[in-house]
Amino acid sequence: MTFLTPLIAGIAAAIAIPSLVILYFLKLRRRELEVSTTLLWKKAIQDLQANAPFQRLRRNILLILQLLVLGGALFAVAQPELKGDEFQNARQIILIDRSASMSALDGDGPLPDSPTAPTKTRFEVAKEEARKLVDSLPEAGIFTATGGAEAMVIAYDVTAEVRQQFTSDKALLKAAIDAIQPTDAPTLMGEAMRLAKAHSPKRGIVADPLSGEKMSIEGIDAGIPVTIHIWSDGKVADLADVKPGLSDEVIFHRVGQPDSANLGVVGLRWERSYEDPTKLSIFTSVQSTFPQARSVDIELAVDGQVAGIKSLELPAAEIKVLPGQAQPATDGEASQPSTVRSVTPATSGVVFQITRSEGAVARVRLRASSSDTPPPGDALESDNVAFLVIPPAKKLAVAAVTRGNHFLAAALQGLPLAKLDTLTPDQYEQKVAAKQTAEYDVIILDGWLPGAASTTPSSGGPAAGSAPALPPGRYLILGAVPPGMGITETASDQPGSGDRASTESVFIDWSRDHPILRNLTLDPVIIAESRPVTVERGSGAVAIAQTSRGPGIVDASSSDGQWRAIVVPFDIAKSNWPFDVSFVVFMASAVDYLGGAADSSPVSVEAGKLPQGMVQPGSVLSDRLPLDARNARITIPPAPSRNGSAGQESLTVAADGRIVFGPISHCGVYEVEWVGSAGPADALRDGRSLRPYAANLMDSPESDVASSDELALASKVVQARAAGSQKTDRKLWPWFLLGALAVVMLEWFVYNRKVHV
Amino acid sequence: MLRTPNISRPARIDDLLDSQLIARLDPLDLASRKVFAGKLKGERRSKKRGQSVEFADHRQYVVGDDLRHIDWNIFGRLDRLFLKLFLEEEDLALHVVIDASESSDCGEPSKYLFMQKAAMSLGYIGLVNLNRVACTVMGGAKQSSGPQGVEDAADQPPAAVGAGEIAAIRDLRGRRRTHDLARFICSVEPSGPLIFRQAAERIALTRRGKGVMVLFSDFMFKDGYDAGLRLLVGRGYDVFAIQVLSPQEIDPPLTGDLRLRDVEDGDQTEVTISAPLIKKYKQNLAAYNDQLRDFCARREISFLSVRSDTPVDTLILDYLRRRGLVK
Repeated sequence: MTFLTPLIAGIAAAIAIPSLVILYFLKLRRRELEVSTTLLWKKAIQDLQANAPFQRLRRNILLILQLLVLGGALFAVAQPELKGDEFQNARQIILIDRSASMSALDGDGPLPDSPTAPTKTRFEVAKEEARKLVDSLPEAGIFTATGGAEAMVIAYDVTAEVRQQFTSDKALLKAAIDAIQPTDAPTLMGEAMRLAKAHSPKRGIVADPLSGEKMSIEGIDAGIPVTIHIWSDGKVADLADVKPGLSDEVIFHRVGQPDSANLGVVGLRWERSYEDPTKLSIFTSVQSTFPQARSVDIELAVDGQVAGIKSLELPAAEIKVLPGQAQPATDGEASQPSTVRSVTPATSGVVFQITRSEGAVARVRLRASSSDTPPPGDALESDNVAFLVIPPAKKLAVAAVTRGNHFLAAALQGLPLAKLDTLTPDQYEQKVAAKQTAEYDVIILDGWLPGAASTTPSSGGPAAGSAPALPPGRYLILGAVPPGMGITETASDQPGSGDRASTESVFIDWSRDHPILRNLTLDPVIIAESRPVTVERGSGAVAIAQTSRGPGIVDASSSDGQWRAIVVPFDIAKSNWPFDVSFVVFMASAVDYLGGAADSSPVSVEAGKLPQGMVQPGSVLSDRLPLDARNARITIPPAPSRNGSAGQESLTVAADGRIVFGPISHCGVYEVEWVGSAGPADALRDGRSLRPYAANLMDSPESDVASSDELALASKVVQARAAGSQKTDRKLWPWFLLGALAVVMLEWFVYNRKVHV
Repeated sequence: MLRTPNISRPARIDDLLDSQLIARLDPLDLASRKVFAGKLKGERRSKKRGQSVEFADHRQYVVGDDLRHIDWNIFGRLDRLFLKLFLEEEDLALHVVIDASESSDCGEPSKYLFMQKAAMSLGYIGLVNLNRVACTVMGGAKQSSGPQGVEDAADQPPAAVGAGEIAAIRDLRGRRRTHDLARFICSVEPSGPLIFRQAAERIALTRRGKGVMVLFSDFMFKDGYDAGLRLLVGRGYDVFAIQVLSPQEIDPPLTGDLRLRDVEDGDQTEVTISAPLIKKYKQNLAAYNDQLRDFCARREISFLSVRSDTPVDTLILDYLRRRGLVK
């Protein structure tokens, strides 16, 4: 037991106790009264005193009781409390993980066998414990305004946000903790830690070794040391980026069970047959961390209708126990060597084949074998469902602006296009003036650029600063270098001049996983007349193929997504490329890629690179609507398993049609609808254009819900503190006051018994 | 219990006896359970054989007897000389004693006033019935203008009577002495302590003859009442002890923390009034009175306890008549 304000209580005791005793030593001032005789009174008093048991004690029982009352009150003034856990530092930072895996249902123990048993999610447990921590923080005393511990609340998933700045107001802190909602996003802790460090003042205090004077040095990344409480299950992707200060104390409050297992959809993609675009294949990849083989049913629903159920056998996950990295604790708390449980999830997949030419929203759901319930023992619900937005099978409209190019016409004619218009530059200029270019998905500019800047090939003036002459759209530019795209022509070489050897070049390297160049080889191509260009660093342009004389194919896009172009600077007619099969493949891939039909190529979910129509919770939904879109609004799906209801929010459409919403908090299908023309892949509903987005967790580490015992941060390894081991401070002064009150009542009773007439 | 505030002392007989009371007292006469020898011829039977109309006995003539008393009828029938004896009728001595210590001056209504009135009433009855009436005041202070015929028993300066002293008036007889008695009773103011034993000793030493003694007091003597009472009863007096208590003494109206001061000896007692204390006080008072009554009963003293708010006529006409003091 410690006392918060012993000094004040001591002073009060020094004054009050002697005063009380002196009051008792002082004689009572009695009213004087003359009576005929005191004979009987004396006898009565003597009798009374002789009859009373413990008369000496009884005479002073009021004094004793009053001393007890006073003692109780003085103890209360001293504010005794039973100390809970002590932390090194006065400032606490509470980091609460709100990522998808925190919604696992093993917060308060291993998952029960019966699915209806009440369970708490890890997140709820984390919030409860955080609240307890806040309760246990030392408070400012009754008499002192300062002295309370300050704390800050940060919630994080892939992003982090400060929910409450440093304050010692416990009500604010608890309200901030209560307000945190779980999301379906993966976990990244680095930003949260940087945020925490950013909010603690940066000031290093160094003692001068000579004078012993303390100097405060601004900017040293020391800060006032803080105690950082992390509530997490330890499934953090970027642990190596998490750098707490050297003097900071990091306490890892692990929630969840280390042997929890989970089934989850970790991959979902679709593919249309190239020959018959109505034939649609949906590939589903499922991961299991169960230590035994599992069989699970996968249900596919297309636009809400069940389209197929397939059974899937998942092998057992491989579980290894490795020695941990934590140093043996010095206080003997963890004497046994720490271990890390390493789980290699078992993955398997199924393919659904359906026939559908129009667009659809597909939903894949895991269920227990031959029943409509979630798979038993599954800890996390939100990764049991994944959504997929499938655009309609579509063909592209392409305009080839050329003065006549036989190779180009030949290559394009073989493509399965909806429309192929061959335009002369004049016709194209008319269409631009009439704003009719939007009907084309891709515009091929062959050796010609619109506007004055393009009539003659630019001689290499840096045009990056000027506005691009191209109207918004998708372009395949052959034999020209458009200005303002971060591509500059090297001034030394003039086309058509110089000897052949100085301009000849071959492709020496190309980006083999770029969607355009994925399926071809450029080895046989010899370029007779190169046009050397340089690609500016930091611009939106990336050279995806290198010739021996510089970039050969450049993928350029504007930062605001208004236009995108594949630029082939050299004149294909002055190379042997048109005779190579790779040219036809290149043309087809480039048109598909630019036209957005790249989606029809096999896509898979990779971190940070999601196909169109798919977002991951935690990230921001950002897309472009057609230019005439207005009154846009987004329908937010109900949060699964959190009893949320669907909501709608209006969106602001920027002048270029851009919309931004987010960050997305939970999985589901988000539908953006607007009034105005629809894009080629958009649906129509009630006279409004509709574009759905599927938000899926699809994160293999996040689906592995086994919580880990240690956090290997960049600067230290933190051992988990067992959940619920936290002891909170218990304030005792109310009990002392209550006791004093009880004694007051007893004293009143005794006094009445003695005095009442 | 408490000292009576703003006392109006009786100055004249009218303050002690009003005409209504006199009218009611007139038919009464004193009585005694014992028959005493009187000094003068009176209206009372005496133990002596004497000259009266009431026959008592016969006895044989012996030489020297008064020939007038020979019963000649018996001589004629029996031829022997017998004397005819008659009961002597004598007066009755009434001795009223009042406790004039300062404690008598307490209570509302005042105990002393009550005693004065009661003593005057009894004295009046005695006087009108031709009895010898004496009145003694124990303690107290005598006013300078004492009535004539009042003796100072202890030869003290008349102003102060003193703790063990008495003042007395004696041998009053006949209605006309009523005023003397009243003056005497009014002349003594209660003051100072009283040593009852000394006072009783003096009374016993100075009195003459036998008779009825009526003693008014509260009997709250710190040195005890038993020695004094024993002295008074020892000489063959028919003693009536009338204890006068004020209502405040019977049921003390006290609260709070008090320092009680005895009006007589200044003795101080600190009390904190509480229910048990009051209860104990009442128990003690009852026990004290029981003891007193028991003591009196064993010594043939008639004991009567009255409250000072009792009307005097009730005391005389009811209580004392029932006790046989008046008839």
